[in-house]
Amino acid sequence: MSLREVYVLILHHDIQLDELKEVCAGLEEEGVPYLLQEEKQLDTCIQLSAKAASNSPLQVGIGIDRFGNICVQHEKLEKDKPYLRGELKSSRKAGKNAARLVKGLSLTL
Amino acid sequence: MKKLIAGVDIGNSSTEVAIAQIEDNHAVFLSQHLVKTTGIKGTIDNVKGIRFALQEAAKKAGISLKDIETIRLNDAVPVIGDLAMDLISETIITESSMIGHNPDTPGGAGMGIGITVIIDQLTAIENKEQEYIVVIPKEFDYEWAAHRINKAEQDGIIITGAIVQKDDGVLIHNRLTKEIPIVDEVSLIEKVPLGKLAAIEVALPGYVIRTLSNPYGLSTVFNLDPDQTKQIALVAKALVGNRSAVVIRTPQGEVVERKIEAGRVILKGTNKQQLEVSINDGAESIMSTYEKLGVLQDVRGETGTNVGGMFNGLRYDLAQLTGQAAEEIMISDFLAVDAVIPTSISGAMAGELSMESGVALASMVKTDKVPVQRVASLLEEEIGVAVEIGGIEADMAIRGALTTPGTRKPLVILDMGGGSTDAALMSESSKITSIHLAGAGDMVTMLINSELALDNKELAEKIKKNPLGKVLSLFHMQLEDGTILFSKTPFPPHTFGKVLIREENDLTPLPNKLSMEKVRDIRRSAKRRVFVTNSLRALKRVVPTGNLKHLSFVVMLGGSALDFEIPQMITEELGRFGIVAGFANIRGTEGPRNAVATGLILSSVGKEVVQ
Repeated sequence: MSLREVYVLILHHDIQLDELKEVCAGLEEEGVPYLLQEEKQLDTCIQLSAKAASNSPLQVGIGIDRFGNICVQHEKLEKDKPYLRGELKSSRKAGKNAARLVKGLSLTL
Repeated sequence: MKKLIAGVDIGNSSTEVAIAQIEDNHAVFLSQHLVKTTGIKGTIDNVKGIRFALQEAAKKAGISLKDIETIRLNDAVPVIGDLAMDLISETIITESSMIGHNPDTPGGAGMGIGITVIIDQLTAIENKEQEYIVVIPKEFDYEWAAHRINKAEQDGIIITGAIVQKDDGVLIHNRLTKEIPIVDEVSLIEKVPLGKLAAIEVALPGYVIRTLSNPYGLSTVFNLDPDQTKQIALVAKALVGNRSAVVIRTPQGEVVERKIEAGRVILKGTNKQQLEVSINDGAESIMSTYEKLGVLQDVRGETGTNVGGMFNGLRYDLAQLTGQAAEEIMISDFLAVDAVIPTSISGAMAGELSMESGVALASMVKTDKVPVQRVASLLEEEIGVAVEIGGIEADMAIRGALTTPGTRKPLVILDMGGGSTDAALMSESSKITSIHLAGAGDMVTMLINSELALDNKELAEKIKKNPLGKVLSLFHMQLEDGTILFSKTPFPPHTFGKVLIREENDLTPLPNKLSMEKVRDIRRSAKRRVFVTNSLRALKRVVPTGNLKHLSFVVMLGGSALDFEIPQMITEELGRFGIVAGFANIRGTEGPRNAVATGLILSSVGKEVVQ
């Protein structure tokens, strides 16, 4: 399996790239690959994170709505109950926690 | 003729009651209840708890409190215990000359040696002969920092490592053109001295540092003479087991392991016999000196030393509790246990702790007769039922213990409570010998609290009482024995990836730095140090010959006999002497609880129990 095939999927609704830098930094610091995609069909971060999780090869997905609300979700959980919630201004933490969820390490809450 | 009798046992930590119906000299037990003891054992504050326990037991039995004819109260043992703990060695590393910690994600790997320089001063460097280690405080962004380091490299400045305040190690590392070791999450980075020679080491994942934790590694790196090497050996010791470390040489920095004037323990026996032992010799030699002395009348610590302070503190506490003058307090027993006391290193830059040796003491005094009569009178007044004080506590406990199926006289009971470990022997001719020893459940809690550096007594108490688990995934938890538990509902975020205390209905996460193995080891060793030691000490004293092989039945009672592992430890240890030891099963149903309350009721009829 090539490295490109495993990643945490990040779905965002109309967010500027430079605002997404911190989420990605959180994942990178933990050494977990990620893929950024825009998704304008879905409105809430709950829906975005659920879709991200089910399309993510690592089963963990991040959804960011256009207001900057963030949800971290796992494929095996109920779709309407995201595992973690956060905001864009503390998005390093969301990225880090998503990565740690993949690695099975304790989270920073 | 039928009548209702209640037995009430006020213990140091819990109050137990039993209610029985007496008919033709037979006791039929109707109900029992247990509450936390309100106030200090033997004081009138106890009445509140007793009343509540009686009400609950009456409710369970389907009777009214007023129907009870007599309440029998135990004659509480007039001993009170207290605990103390202190260091006997201390490492002081001055001038902040080291960082040793385990960030989750340091950057790069390997060794680097150079002069410390702050990141925004890189461009000002003129001496390009030197090698440098960059210090990056939190106000500098990782991209900018990486860019600066790359640029400096292009300009011919050699950078061999970086110390970072934020959790940015990997991010910076990924953006560098040349690989260097990076230690991150250094919270007190402002304490890192600048312009000084430093060495940095980061090990690969799953490995620990080798050079900086080796005194000769340090002497090679810093070019030290034998005297200086001897001095820096303590730094190496403090860094053992870390994944990353920084050592900075500050000329005025010097490290001393100061042996604190721990002082001598003076044990006073009968006939003005007196033995002394230095507390630096450790708990084992203190306890063997005590054994040589035999009967202890009092113990003092050398004044002006740590141990003097410890014993004075105990004396003062005990004086407060008993209402006696401090000079009148005679310590009738004590237990010394070696302890590891994590102590924060002065001048540490990432909250490092050094493991110092210390000693924990439990001590006990005989007091004037505990004023149970006052409790009895007040209880009688409040409830309107006749209250009488039953026999000696040990006597009652043995009577209760003998209701355990499979026991017979001669029998020894080992009552392991919170404050003291009591033992009593009932010979074939029903003669009873009893003793009270310092050190029990509360001492275990103190050891756990200190050795795990929890600073939280309630958490230590929970660790003592429950097994551990570690959440591995949303739906899996690993248990202490290695088995995996599956959960139908996902574990909540605050427990994910954590080591937890598995209480009956609750999961309490522990701080991240504690591993399941470490917590378990310390928990079990604390229990061994206190209870196994004390059970042997207790049995040797109650057996007339002092030879444990002359015993056959030992029954464990009290709160600590309910513990999930203490009874097994003792069963195992005493099994070596051919003794049948196990926790009681009072009346065949109550386990190690309710022995005294049961004994109080039985002693009023002097007959056997009827289920």
